[in-house]
Amino acid sequence: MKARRSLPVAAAQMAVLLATLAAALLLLLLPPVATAPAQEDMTTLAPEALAPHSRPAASFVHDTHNEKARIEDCGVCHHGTTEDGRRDPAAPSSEGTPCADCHAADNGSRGKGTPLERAYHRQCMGCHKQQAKGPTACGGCHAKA
Amino acid sequence: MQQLYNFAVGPLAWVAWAVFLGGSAWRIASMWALARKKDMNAVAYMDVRFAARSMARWATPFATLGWRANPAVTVATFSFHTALVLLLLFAPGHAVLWDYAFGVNVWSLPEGIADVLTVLVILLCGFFAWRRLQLPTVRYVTRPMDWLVLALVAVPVATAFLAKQQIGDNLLMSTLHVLSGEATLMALPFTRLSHALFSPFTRAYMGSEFGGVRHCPDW
Amino acid sequence: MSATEFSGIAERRIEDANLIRGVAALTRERIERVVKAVTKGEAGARLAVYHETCMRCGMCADACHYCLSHGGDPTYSPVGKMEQTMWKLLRTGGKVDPDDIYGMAQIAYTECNLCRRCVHYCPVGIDTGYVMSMVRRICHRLGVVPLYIQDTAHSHSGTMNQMWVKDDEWIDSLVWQEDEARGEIPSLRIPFDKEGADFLYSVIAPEPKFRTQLIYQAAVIFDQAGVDWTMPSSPGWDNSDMCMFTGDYEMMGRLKRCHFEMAQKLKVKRIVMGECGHAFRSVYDVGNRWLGWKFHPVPIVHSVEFFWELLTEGKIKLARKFDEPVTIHDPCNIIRGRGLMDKLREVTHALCSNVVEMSPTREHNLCCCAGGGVINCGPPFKGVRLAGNKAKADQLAATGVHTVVAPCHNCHGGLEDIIHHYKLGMHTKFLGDLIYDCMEKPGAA
Repeated sequence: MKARRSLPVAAAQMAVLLATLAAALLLLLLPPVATAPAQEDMTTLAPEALAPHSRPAASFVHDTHNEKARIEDCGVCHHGTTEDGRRDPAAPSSEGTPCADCHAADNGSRGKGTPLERAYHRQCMGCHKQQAKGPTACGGCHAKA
Repeated sequence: MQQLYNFAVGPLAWVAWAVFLGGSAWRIASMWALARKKDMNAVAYMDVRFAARSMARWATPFATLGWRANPAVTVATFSFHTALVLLLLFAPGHAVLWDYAFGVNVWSLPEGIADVLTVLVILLCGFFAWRRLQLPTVRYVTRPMDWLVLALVAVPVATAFLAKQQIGDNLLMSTLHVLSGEATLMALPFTRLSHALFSPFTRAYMGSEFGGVRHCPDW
Repeated sequence: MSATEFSGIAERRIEDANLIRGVAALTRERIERVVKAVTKGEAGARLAVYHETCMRCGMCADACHYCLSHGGDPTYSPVGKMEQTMWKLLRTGGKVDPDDIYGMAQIAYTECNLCRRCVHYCPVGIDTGYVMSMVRRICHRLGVVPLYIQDTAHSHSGTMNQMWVKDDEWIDSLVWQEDEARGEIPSLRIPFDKEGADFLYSVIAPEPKFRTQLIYQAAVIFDQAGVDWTMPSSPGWDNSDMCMFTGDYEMMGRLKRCHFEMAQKLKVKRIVMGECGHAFRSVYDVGNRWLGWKFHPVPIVHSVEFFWELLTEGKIKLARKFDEPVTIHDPCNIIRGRGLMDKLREVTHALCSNVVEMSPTREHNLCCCAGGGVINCGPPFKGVRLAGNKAKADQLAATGVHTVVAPCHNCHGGLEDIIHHYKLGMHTKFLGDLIYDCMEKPGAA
């Protein structure tokens, strides 16, 4: 069905395309990006509940961040809740309670409340945007070590 | 730069989506109105059944004479568009933005797959560029517009790769990625990228004309 | 922008008296005005969308016999030809030189047969045939049309037939063929203007002019099949239409109206058309639309389909089969235009014992390079057709047979020319030729 004329052209095109595809497939064979050890750590946020981690752990040096951001009230991040679990600035702060205790990690089951990943993103990026300070792009926090 | 990024993912994103959706709706509506005014000798033959038949054929690799005669383009075109649409809708980074902004939990591609698709699209942009430069039948009909639309795809995807792999200044790459992506979104209704809007209609008409009047396959 | 190694139409200009005269009368202002009038006034969304969404992928290059025959020269690919004509006109808003129009006319009238084979190659569904027709429309409105085809268009407007056949000559030709045929079938008549006949038989004017024996053959076939038919004695008998191909749509409308109205006046049930492709295109899907008919006021049947009916209903019985191997050429206007590929094969297989298919075949078959008005552009452009269809010559030669069944006048002309030029040692036949040769003739003297 194919015309004679097109054969060399088609072959050249096919060769270039195959090289292209081979290059793409090679990537699959590369070792995956190492995931950070999921330990509670003072320099990164990598909650075990969200494992396996698909991106590098979000860098977060607790004391340095809060000094720089002039956050003295723990409740700004470790916010308290109302009886039925809603965020409540007036309620006692919640430091000591892992975020994952209230925020379910499993994004699939849509229970009440903000899922853990969204809670982190909104907590950090929301404040960074509001204050017009601090990173909001992915790699700003999830930087490779 | 951080403020520019915030602006790009914030207010500018609304503008980009508004221009894209509004522009697309306006282009389709005005073109359809013009077709009804000037092209009834074609519009009158539109037939859903034959249109669907033709679309299904052409949406199947190697199911048409054109695809069979151009195997490399067939593989490239299908992988290119599939990868592009998958990344647009399901790139993990995009899913986070949907989740962050609207609390919508969208399924996303595994990171490894997304990385491979990204590289694939970049390489296929290279393949298309190679065709435009090297094949006389393509080079002869290549205009600045063709390079523009290729760039409108290549730049957002290339910057996505650099940002994701954290090569170069990450904030710069992220900002360029979002800005160029929004440029592409806004340009879609007004450049040759509009084939995304109009090719369903041209395909539907050809399918209808060949199916309903000519009783002959259009593939 | 275009690649320097291919300058396209500029390097292959052919002298044509009417193109030269037409271009000499042009001004840039007039060109711009006419281009706008056609692209914005007559055309609309279809043209604009084709221009916008053609992705310049070049896949259509493999579709076109001109491009294949010229070793893949991109200036002959469908998109290459649209690029040099309509795309350029739309991009510049019609701001081109008179000289540019010369090249555009030459491309549109002589380097595209409007065969639409490229339809099978375009993922987006661009209709190159339509786009090139709109280029012709602009050229027609600018008065830049090749001399020979313009002459046939003049004939249409002067006589309502393509070949300057005068009214009395038409009747004379029919009576002459009736006389001849009565030598073979003594009771045979060619019924003039028979009201209420089952069908009106219409032909193209080149039949009475050059191939009068075809009317004889048709008369014998119809007579011996015992069908109820008639031919008109006054204008409306010619179903051909070169005006459709020059871009003179107003005149095309008059021709088709005259033809339809003749059938209506005679109160026939349907129109059966001779073995012609372009006339079928004109009556079946172009002229009717210009007149505002979605389909046709009178049912239209092409000879291939009618012969199929006669054979399957047993109205014609065959005394013998044609024994030499034959191959089948698929005319664009009745295959890509009407889907008659299966019926064409059924009829051919009924008549011939040895059928060798071409490759590619059926709706993917290569064009004859004569249709679309190209052969009608006359001697100055004969070389364009010969060089432009080496691909077809190779395809024909590969079958190894000596007889080509081609149920279309233009295809006959085009194929005979390349057969002669490339010394293929073949000849073409109409289905009517084969039926006439092989059928039982119970009424024969």
